Amino acid sequence: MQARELQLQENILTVSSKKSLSYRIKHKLIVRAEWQLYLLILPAVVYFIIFHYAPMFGIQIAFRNYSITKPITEAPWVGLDYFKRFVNSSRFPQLMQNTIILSLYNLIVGFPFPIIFALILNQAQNKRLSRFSQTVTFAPYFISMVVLVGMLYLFLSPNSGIVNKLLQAFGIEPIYFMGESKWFRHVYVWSNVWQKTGYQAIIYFTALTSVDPELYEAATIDGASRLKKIWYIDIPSILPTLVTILLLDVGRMLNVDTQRTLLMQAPTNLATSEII
Amino acid sequence: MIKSATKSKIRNSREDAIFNVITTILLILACLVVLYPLYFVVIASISNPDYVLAGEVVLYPKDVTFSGYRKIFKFENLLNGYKNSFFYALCGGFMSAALTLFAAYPLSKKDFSGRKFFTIFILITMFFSGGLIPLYIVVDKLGLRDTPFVLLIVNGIQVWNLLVASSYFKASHIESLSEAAEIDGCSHFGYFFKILLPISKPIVITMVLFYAVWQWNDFFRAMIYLNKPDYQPLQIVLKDLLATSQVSSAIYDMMENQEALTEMLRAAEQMKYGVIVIATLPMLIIYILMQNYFVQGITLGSVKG
Repeated sequence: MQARELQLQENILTVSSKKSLSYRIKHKLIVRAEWQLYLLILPAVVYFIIFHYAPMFGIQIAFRNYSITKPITEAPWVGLDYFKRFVNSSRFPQLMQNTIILSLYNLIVGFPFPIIFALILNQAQNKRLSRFSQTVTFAPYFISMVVLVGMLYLFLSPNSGIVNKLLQAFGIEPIYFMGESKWFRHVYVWSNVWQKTGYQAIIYFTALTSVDPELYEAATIDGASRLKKIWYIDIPSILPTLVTILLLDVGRMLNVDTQRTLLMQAPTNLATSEII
Repeated sequence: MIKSATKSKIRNSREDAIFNVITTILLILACLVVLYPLYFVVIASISNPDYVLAGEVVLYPKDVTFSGYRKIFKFENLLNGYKNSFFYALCGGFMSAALTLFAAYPLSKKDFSGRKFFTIFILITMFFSGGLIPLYIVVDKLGLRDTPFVLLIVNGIQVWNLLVASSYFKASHIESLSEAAEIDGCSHFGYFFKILLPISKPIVITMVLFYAVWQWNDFFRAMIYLNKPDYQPLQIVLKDLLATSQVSSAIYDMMENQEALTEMLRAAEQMKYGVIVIATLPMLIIYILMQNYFVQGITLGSVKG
């Protein structure tokens, strides 16, 4: 009796130890496999800690009386002092107004262009032309900001630029586009349209190409006109993309492109080009 | 009944024809609006500057001369910038792409235990940032300022690209393939380097291209963190040359000093056009050769984003 019990116990023991062994093997495998995943992601994590998280702690200099000679932690706290000073400064209303007008103008003009262009690309019967113009309009995206602004200076130059030469041919006085503050916004927004439309249109165009062709066939049979097809098939199918991009754009509204502004700024157009 | 149907058909086909004409015209117009400025830069760079300044060069080059280019190629700052930018684009392109792809793989693995944590960890940096000055202090403390590495490292991994790569891996993930590899004793490293990367060539190329183009075109970081002329990328040199309404001192340096002021003004414009061509050409060539990858890259991002 006792012997049998022992035997049984032994059996149970071996079973359980076997189980734990297999469990251990499996576990070890997982761990062994996982450290490699951690190792792969490690450089990126280190990078993000040093160059993104560490500066986030540096944001406290906004609330401290910081001087370059002392470490940040020793600088005395001044609370919202700098923000108050900024908001109360005489330039603040002008800055705020410039920023908001520029970004609103940019959004209102810049947002519909890629959509309209994508719709036209999609409707074009001549597929080769459609493909060609897609390629062409994407190209300005590869022109650097510096070169783009340099081109603007050259084209819009009051005495030698081609734009003013054309205006003169129609008897219009040359305009100093890059110098006058009233032209700054227009130049900024429309050069942006020129550069980005083709790039942004690709996103919508891809959404349009995934529309089921049967929908168009059905619409044709029902006698729908082309405009109706655009309105009832194309627009609804890109609506999700459209809303997402609109939300992203609105969220970015106050981040006007600093680099572009910096390059286009001149002492004479500061009245409209100075932004936050 | 039949009559009215054919009538509407006729009406529709006529409408179609008008519609086709309109779309064709609009597309050609769009192409012209984009191409003409680029074309003008090219013809202006090889025309006699007198005609360009007089506004007589509009459709084709007049009195073709390459004197502008000859002067440009004598300008050492520009050549040095060219060389530097080439280095930054090449090294930065491969390094950033490698690190991005490495990180993208674990993030795309469903059974990776740290996946959720790291995804949030990385996404946070997309929405919150410490701003320029704290980052500058960090870079300065690390002794990276005024070294060429600063351009390779700062913004070296971009969250958006990371998400694109990760969603590509997720979409191309084949359960049976990774299981088979696991059963055969293939580690994550083995699977990633020997199986996943070779079958994900499009995303690898896309990443390298995106980072390289961005490195080539970016000037802001160099302006902030680099002061030594030896390490300046091309865009900084260009900024001094182009983004100003006056004849800059840089242009002045390009001239032989004995040249008269009017002569200088005359040649300065032509050289500006030439510089634009030289600075933009490499990227446009890469774009034309690799355009499918760029389109793919944007599309991938938009599907998940």
